[in-house]
Amino acid sequence: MKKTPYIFLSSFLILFAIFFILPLFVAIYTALYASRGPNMYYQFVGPRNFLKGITDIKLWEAFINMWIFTLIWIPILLVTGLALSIYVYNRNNFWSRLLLVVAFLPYAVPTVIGSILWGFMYNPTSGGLTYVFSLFNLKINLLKPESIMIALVNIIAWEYLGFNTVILLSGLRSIPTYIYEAAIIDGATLSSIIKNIQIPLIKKYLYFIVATTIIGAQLLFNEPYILGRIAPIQPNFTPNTYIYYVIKSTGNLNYAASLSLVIGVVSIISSFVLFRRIMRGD
Amino acid sequence: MHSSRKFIIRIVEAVAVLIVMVYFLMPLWWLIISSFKPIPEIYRGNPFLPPLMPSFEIFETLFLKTEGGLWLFNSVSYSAVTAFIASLSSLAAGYSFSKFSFKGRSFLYGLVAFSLTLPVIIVAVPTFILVKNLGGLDTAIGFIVPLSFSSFGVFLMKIFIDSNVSNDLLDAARIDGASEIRIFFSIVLRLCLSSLLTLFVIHFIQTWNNLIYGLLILYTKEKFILPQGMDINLYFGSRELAHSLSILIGGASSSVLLMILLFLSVEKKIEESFQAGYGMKG
Repeated sequence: MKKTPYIFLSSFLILFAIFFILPLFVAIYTALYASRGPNMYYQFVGPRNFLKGITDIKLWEAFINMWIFTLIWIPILLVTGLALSIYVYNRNNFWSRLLLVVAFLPYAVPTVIGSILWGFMYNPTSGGLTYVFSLFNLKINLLKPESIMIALVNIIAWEYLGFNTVILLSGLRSIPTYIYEAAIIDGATLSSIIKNIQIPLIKKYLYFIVATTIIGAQLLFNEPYILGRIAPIQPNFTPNTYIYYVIKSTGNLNYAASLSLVIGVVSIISSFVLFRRIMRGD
Repeated sequence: MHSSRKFIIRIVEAVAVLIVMVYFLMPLWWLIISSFKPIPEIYRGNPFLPPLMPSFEIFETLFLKTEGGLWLFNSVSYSAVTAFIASLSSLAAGYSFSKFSFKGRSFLYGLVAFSLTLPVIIVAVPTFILVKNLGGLDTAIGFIVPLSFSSFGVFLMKIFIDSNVSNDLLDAARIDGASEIRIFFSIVLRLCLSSLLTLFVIHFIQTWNNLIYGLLILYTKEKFILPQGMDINLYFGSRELAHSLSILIGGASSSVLLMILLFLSVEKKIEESFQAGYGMKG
């Protein structure tokens, strides 16, 4: 039966062709035109939209904003993720396992809901976090423009730390036991086992979470969008919120199409460069 | 001396574990208790104390006086349909890539792998343009169909089938005269049930979270997904505060409850299918 594999492929392939491959061409085609009224393909303008997109200061501000976000979040992620996973692995009792379940729980919460929940927590008059701060006589309002980045990092940490800990934990579990046995025979202490065996041997997993975090940060939309509804955030906080803002405020879909291509290409290149950098740092 | 030092370390450890757990549980605990408070009580006093008089006011308002119940139903049904189509079509395509050799196989699989490296936004905007030009704006179909495939799912299923479905078993079934369709549904589907369900849950949550696509495609309030409905209620003052709060808090706690139930039900199914899988092998 020569047709069999194509029949099994067909349902996926049709959807994939229409809603993944075709849109790539639609984006390029649309970006080459300018609209007039309802006619999106009124006039051929060549690369004008692309040039405008590449030199759009607001887009670059959004990218820089995201890179700042990544620079703050990744060190925190690595330190806390390593600490949690090593603790859970080495302690391995009821409480440490419960800790892991509790830390993973937010991953099951939809990100829009998570952002709204933290929005309530941050509320400067009645929020839960504001209440906790007030117990320590602190008056901190994370919804101010200068601290909004911290507010965002915290939401992302709450959502994804447990998930990343689980990945690191599976790395720790992949270390063969004879290595530990040899180390213990040689008289290694727990701290030297952590420093000289566990951390070096899960480097691959650390690279993995750094790479996925960079790629994920470039796609942030839900969290900054929801935060933007309750706090003063510029519409170009991330590239994705900027593109949505362009569509909603100007309705210029030709320009939006070129922006989506520029954003896509830049984020592929930047994650590739960063990934290479990290690999070379090995 | 030594034992008292050990005791202090134990205390520090317990406190640290407790703080981490409190951090992850705080917003969820607040959500659950707040959803059973009468509305005026939410903004009063210690936000983390359980309600003095448990009340169902929020859920009553959510389901009886606002569109919240409808939005919840929309989100559940849209997500379920996309997840159902995406997981079944991924299984079929993954099976085809894994167990058949055919013309164009490596090219098509390369295309699927390539699509995994592209950020979603490249496709989201032109898909919106495409759906707009096809006249699918503001329809459930226009939202559901473009989200009903998963390149990641095809990848996952191929890898799973590569190592969990043996060629001998398939050949034996063919010799016994089973049709290809029957082999697919009664052998492949059954052996892959666990990862199929995992994919279903992942895709369900992905659709649930796809706020940007909802914002672009759906305009009429009756067709909104829940995150959109929550979004328009983040502007307090645009309507009655009690209604907005009920939609935000009641909608959030219903969604969280639903996601947790989904995870738990799937977890049981995964265990069952693992046992069934071992039974087949043994």
